[in-house]
Amino acid sequence: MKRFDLLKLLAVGLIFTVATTGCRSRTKGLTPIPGGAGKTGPGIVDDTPPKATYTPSTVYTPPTTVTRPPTPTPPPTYPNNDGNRVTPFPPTATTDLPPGGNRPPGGENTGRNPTGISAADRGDFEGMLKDPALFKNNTVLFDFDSSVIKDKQRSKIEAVAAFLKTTTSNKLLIEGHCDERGTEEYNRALGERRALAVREYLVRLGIQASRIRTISYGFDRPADSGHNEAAWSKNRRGEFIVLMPRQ
Amino acid sequence: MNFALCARRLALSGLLLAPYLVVIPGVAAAPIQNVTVFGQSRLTPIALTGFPTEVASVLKFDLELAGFKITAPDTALYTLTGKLNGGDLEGRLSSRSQTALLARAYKGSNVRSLTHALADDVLLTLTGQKGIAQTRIAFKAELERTSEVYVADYDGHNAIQVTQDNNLIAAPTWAPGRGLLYYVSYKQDNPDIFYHDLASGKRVVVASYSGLNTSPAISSTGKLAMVLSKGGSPDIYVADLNGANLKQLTFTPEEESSPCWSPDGQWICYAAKVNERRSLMKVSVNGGASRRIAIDGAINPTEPDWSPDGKFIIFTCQRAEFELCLVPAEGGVATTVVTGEDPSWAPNSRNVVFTRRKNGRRYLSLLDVFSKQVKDVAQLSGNCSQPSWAK
Repeated sequence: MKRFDLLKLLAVGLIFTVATTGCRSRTKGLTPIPGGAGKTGPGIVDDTPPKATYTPSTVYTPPTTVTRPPTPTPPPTYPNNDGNRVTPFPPTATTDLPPGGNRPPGGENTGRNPTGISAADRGDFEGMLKDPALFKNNTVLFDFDSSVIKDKQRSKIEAVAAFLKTTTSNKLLIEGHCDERGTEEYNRALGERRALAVREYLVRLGIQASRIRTISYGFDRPADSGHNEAAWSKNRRGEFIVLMPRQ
Repeated sequence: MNFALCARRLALSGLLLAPYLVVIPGVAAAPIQNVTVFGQSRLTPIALTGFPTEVASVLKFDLELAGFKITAPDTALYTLTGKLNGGDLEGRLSSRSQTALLARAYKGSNVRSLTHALADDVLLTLTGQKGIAQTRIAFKAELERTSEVYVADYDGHNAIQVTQDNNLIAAPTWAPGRGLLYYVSYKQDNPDIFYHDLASGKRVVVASYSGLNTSPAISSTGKLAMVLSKGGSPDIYVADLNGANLKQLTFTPEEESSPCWSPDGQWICYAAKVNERRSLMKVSVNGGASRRIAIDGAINPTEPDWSPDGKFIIFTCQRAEFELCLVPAEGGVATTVVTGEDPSWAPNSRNVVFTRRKNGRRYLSLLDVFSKQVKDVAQLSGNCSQPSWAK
């Protein structure tokens, strides 16, 4: 009964939070995509041949190579196995980043995800200091291909919840990871689902959802680089990184 | 006996050798009716004479992936003769009856490019099909703790590094016909979706919502499908090419992944977990209920890719190891083709680039789904994965 009341309270609080703070309008400044079909890049030969005519002895001349502008600081090159050197593109001319990322337009989240607790606004986490060491031993481990939090792992999350309740200026980043056995993009989604499962449990324990953000690395950041069950069991995990405001 | 079978017999008997309209058995220009035909296609014998070693090996690579096998002239159905004159390449194709089918000279500085052009001409002459020897692929290459996007010729040569984020990247994919790459970069301390104009080097963030932004896929009609978790769970969303007009298409508590498009841009196929069972689903670009694509004979499907001719979906299935499987786009009996994962169709709906794993390392290979011939792409030194074939 008590728990039910608490959930109700949380739900109301969450709706209030989203209604008041959650949905800033999307940053303007996205550049429309230039150009039409068939463009190729600097350093890439446009070797599309002219339409074949099948007249015997037609002479085919591919267009000449586009010369790349010189790069100020040449980044490292990587050899092909056939001895070719890999030439990098020139440094990116522009990176048009909307500050703080796209924000969903107001009221855009319909709340129709049965278990969905909307993601916290990532703009609210910018510039915070990361402490990956504090809860290093609280890393939550998962079963193969599962994002269900096992009973034995709950106390690790509860300790983090207790800490967040006493230090209200701190926030939390949860990293979701997978072992190498799934396919790559499936694992990126599964890693996110794991991080979200930990987040959902923290919210059930009374932590504001707006204090917790998640990131999935799929299988790109293994804790153990081995290729056996001992390594895999360590790699299926959710890691806690405490975020502290800059003094 | 149906007409197709008749035509096949006639062609086999060598009676149909007119240069431009011949459908060669094994090259499979005729539409394949039954999925079980995959992997059983006959190889067309062709002889290569007169070429220097490098040219001959490029021709062998290109032609074998198109369903040919290189044989001695006395057993070949066709003979391709040629020479390298200074930098110029010359090629002459003739049938067994000495009928000249093609004679062309190729001028240019890059012998590999000239040879690919010749291979495509041979294919066009004999099958009427546009070859893929001059197309490109994009992929992810790992360099110790970081990864970057690369673009290379379809055989892995002439690789060019596209990103220099010194961070993680993922899931590069082409916008069909636009010379644009979309990919995920963790550069902003979050997996966000960028597009990158290869002509100007300019790139723009198109999705950097809170949470996961990944698995971009671009339709022929210019729409972006992707996976976002901002609603509290990884779901499928669709938007314009610049990220505007976002619309959520799936609403499940489980994770959806790897959207791909039907060639007409009307459907998005993706991997999902339905009642604890992994399935391939499809949803209309306009939203509405998702439908399961029935798959008989393959379990744990992920990473679907819809063939450009619309007929088949190739995907990764998982038994003891990952395998590529084909199923008719409307669902049905799946055919396992080869060990590997993360397939991407070539524009010809016949070849596929995919990832293989060996000794904990990932690398790229090419497949001819009709003949099951597989060839490794020229590799970079680290792990290479998530290939996307330019269309």
